[in-house]
Amino acid sequence: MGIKLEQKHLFGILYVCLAASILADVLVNFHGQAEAQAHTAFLWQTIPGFSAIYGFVGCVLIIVVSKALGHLWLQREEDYYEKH
Amino acid sequence: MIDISSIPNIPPALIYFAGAALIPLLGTGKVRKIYLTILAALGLISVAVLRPQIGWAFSVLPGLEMTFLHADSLSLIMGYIFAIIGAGAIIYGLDTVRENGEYVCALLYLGSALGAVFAGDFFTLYIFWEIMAFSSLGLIWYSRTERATNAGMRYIIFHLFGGCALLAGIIIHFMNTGSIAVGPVELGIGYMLLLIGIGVNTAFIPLHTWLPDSYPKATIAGAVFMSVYTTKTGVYVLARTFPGVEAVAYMGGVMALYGVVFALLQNDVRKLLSYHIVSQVGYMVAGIGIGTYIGINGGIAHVFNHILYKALLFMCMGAVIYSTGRNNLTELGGLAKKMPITTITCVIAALSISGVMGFNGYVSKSMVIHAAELSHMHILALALIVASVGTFLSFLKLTYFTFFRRNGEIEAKEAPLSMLIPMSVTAFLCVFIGVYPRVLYEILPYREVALQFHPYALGHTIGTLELLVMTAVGFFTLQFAFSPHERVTRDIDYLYRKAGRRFIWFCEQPLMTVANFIDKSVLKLADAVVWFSRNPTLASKIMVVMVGAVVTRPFNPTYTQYARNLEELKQMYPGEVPRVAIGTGVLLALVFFALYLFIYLTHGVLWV
Repeated sequence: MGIKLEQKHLFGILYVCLAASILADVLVNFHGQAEAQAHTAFLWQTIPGFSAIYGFVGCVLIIVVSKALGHLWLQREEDYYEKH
Repeated sequence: MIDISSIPNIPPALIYFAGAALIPLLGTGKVRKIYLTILAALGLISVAVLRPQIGWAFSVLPGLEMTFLHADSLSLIMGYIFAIIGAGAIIYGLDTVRENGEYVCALLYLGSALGAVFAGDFFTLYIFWEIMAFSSLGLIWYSRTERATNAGMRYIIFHLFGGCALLAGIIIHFMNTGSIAVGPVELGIGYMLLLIGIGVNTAFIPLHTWLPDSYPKATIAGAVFMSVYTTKTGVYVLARTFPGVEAVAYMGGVMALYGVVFALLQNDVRKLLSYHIVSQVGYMVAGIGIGTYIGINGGIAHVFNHILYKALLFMCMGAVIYSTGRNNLTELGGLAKKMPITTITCVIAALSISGVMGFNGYVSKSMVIHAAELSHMHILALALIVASVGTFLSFLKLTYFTFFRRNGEIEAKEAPLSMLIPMSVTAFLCVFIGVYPRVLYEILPYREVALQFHPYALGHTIGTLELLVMTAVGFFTLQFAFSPHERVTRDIDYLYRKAGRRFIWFCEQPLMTVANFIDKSVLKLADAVVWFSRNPTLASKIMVVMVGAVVTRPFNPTYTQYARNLEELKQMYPGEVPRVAIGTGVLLALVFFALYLFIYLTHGVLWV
């Protein structure tokens, strides 16, 4: 029960942070500061919240790729190299 | 106030080498502790007083001068961080290092790394490069387990290969240009060989397998040393010889991603950290490959910061292994309350390597990514950002499963003071540089460019925050996917091991058969020669009679006379035909000399 409550709080905090940072991103974007940096950065960096989307995609991608590689192909029992 | 310029500058390598020479006389008690503390301080001072200069040059051959002290802004920043973390690692080992030989190796290793960064020419660099390889081998072998012995063997084979490639590249470069100054190389075979030689130490994919293979098997203090010097010296030489090579930049991106993907699959804590060395060195290599002022600045700044937090991570995990005797994530957990200082310092290091704002990783990683953006290497920048997402995932996993996961049956107490002090100081430096990056930017090679970079610009900070929070959400949502397994993950080393086994099979089977055959026939020949030389006149008579007996047998009934004669002669001859191995050697030597003489006479000019 205790663990569940902790996790709930944790997620609450994380979601609030996420929302706040995206909001800040949007505000900064409208304020035109991003415009000033735009000529050096990518086009997609001017999209507000791009980092969050990219973070999510990257996160899922890395987990899926590494787990798939590991379980399907690369991982063996611990004394594999002693035996083979 | 002491006038610094009045102190004679000596190469820092000399101090550590001299210091290492005295270690065997000291025993393992209190004297050694005091001595080593003083030595660590002396080493720090010797680097701190250095100013940009060239000195300690010796002419070894006409036109060849070896320079042992070549200090400029690039080698100085490397020297500073090497000496700082060297002092930390020396003190860290005071209670864990049992045998003096380990300290001798560690000091030779540290000294030769400093020697390499202050080397003014390729030959001096090469000498220190090889001392580094062999002295670090000691740090693996002193853990005295069978696995460590084998891993050490694989380690040294790799580094000997790299060293040979480096030397060959240097010689080709010298023959082509007549210069051995450490600097960019002209295209050609020498270029490739140098790149391979440096690539082995810098853990280019697929030459990286020695790193995650050997570091987890090194001694507790040894791993801290090793995590610092070998790869970073490689990055330094790369910055000297291959700045702005696009292929190198993309190799950096590949390393960053590859290391992260494999790190997520590891169970051994130090193996996880080792794969993150590959990944983080990828950022430095990328920065140098981009090659603009800000790219090289970013790469070198990342060397500085990485050494701090990575050594700290190895220190923390060493402390965990020291006090629990366990090194697998599946067996650890619940240490947060039992080892509070280790936990706090490890969390600081984890936040630093993940590039969280306010910690030192952020101020250099963002510089490399910014450099990639400025050079319009979009794919590279995106790859580096994904790698930093993976890094954060990895370190959430490491700290969670080591310190915070519930584990009732684990027993541990806080690490000794000699470990905690360097850990705390390093953790402080990580935060200090994160909060006040100017300290670092002031000593970078291109200072003016570095000072114009503002890591805490609003848009950039918010973007990073989004990225990190999203990653944390991902981690806690998909927690089940991160639970460690008691499995070993095969890397490219699988192929190397297979190739190695094939090679040994080839030596033992086909090659040995041929060798045995040659040996036997040569032996027979030699025996005949020995037999003949005992009494050449009699021997030739025997041979004539032998021929006579064989030839006349079908035609002449009196052949028995010959046969009788032959028997008599054989009995007169001294001794049986002996089977002495020495004959083979003599014959081979004779054949060799004859061949040599022949070649000398025909192609004399080539051989003189």
